[in-house]
Amino acid sequence: MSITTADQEQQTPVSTSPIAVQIRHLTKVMGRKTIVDQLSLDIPRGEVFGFLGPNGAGKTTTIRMMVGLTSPTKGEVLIAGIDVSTHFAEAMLHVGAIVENPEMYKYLTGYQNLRHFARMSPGVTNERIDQVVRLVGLEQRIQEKVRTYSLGMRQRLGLAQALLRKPDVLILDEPTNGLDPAGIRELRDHLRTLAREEGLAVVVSSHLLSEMELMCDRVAIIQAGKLVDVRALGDRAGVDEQSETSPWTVFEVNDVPAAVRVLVAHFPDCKAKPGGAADGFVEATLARSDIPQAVAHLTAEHVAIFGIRSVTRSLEETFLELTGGGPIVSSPRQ
Amino acid sequence: MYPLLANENLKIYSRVRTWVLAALVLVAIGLTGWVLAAHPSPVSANWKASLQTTDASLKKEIAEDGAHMPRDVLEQLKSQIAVNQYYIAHNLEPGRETGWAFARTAENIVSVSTVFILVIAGDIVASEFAGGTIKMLLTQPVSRTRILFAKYGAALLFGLFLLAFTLAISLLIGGVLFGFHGANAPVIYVNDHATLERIPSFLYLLVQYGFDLVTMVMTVTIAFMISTIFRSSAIAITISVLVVFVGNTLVAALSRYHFVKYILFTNMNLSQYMQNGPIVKGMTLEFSVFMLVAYFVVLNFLSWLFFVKRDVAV
Repeated sequence: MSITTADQEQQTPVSTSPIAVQIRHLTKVMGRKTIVDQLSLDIPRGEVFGFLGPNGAGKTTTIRMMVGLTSPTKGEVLIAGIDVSTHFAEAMLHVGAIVENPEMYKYLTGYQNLRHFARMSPGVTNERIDQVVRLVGLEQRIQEKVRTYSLGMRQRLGLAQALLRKPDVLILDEPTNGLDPAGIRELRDHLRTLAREEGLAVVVSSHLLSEMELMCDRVAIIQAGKLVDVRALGDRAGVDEQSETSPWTVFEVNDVPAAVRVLVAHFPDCKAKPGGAADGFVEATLARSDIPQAVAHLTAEHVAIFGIRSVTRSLEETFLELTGGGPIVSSPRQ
Repeated sequence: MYPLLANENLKIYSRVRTWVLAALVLVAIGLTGWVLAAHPSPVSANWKASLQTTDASLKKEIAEDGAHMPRDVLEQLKSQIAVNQYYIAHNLEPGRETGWAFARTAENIVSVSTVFILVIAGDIVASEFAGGTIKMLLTQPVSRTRILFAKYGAALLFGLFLLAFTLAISLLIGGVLFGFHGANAPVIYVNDHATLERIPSFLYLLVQYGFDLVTMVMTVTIAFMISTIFRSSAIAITISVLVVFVGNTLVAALSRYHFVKYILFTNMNLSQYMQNGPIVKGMTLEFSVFMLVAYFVVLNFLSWLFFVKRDVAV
């Protein structure tokens, strides 16, 4: 066994690049439909990265191409610098994955399942199996048949399977499907720990915005197979500057049309418009440094200002705005 | 390669179903033994006279209906007469049951074992798709070709296991019921040149199982290919069983047509070259072996093509 291990490690180029996953012009055409269209992305180590999009947007197809279940029509996926299409086995040494539901062999015990998958990866020892079992907290039930497991436990077993060979990239398609809120929270904490402490790149997909907001450092919004936007989320890891959409400034004023006119006149790019929960509010995208000047202009034009606050758009608003409002977008022609 | 094979074996032999199938083979052989032990063929003092009577009635049947009989039935009747005459001429009393003679009778149970082998081979790829486990299996650092190879190997090993099990159990049950003697007792049969042959029982049995082995490998290959293409256990098992049984029946019914010799099922049972003669006139052993190898290569190539090249959409 040790001989195979050494061989395998020699064959595998050790990547020193901080980029765990590179997706280049990835395209999948099925029949006359383009499911994924010219997708390009980099996912660094230590990041929880999300694919967000309505059902049928191409998230799952993208993930299936990343793990080699589906072959791309055009383009490539590099994992730790290795092309998945041409060097599948070598690339998969760096990947642990659960695609959709964590389906395991129900007639085997949890432990037998892990042994089964461990035998397929070089150098996974029995100690490593015990270690991942402890990590996902399945010690009590690991000798029971998977048939008796709840969905949450299967999810944990699936995660244990994905972590067996110490991957650089963990890929989870719709990982929170069917989990209860406690399970989702637990999974989220697990994934964030893995990214932070073990430096894994964690790739998840979901159509649920709130989950992605809680889980991910960055999110790619996908619609109809196209990459619409990549956004850093919240104040995590101080990556907010990368965000492509500016925060909104909301003014509470006495004369909304006048305020809009004044702002547009002085800041042509500010997208000023009436907004907010009630009448009497104006929203504008202004750089922080422009705010004092804007106040000065408004005052000079006799617009009374009652309040100013800065608002970061929630992912949901951005998502709806970018994808055109409909929560479920069917493909243009069917 | 060995770890992958170990995985596939684990998945076959951990399922209760596998052992139920083996138990059914045991029950079928046990029942055959019980019936034969409970109703032994009457051993009369003048067995020669009764054989003569049988022959006379067979000859009469041939004379009256011979023209309308299928060729293989006619051949069989003629062989029986020839074998009976041999018994009389050499003063060999037939019908004495021994452990080895019983094992030869129970060799017919191999067709039951073949159905069970079909079930396992037809399920081995399809069940991964049905259970969704294929997604886990194919996202490991192992090429699809190696996974397919391991599955095919495991299906063949199961076939080998069940054939060996059938042989061992028939000898065991036969031995317990009728005694372990008779290994060297002669078996008389009509060879493909319509002359009588005489070989020891144990050798005859081994040769028959040798032919069964060839049939088993081809059956597994068909079921495996169907399993890989259809990806549904129910469809794969049903179609495999249908194809094999309808195939054999169809070949027997159409044996007068020349093209039938190119059909896999015509060539699958090589015992035709030892006994009774080929299904289609003019077929040779070399021809059949060539056809089997050709089918083997093509069927396995199709399995590989469908398994390795197609997207997994479960």
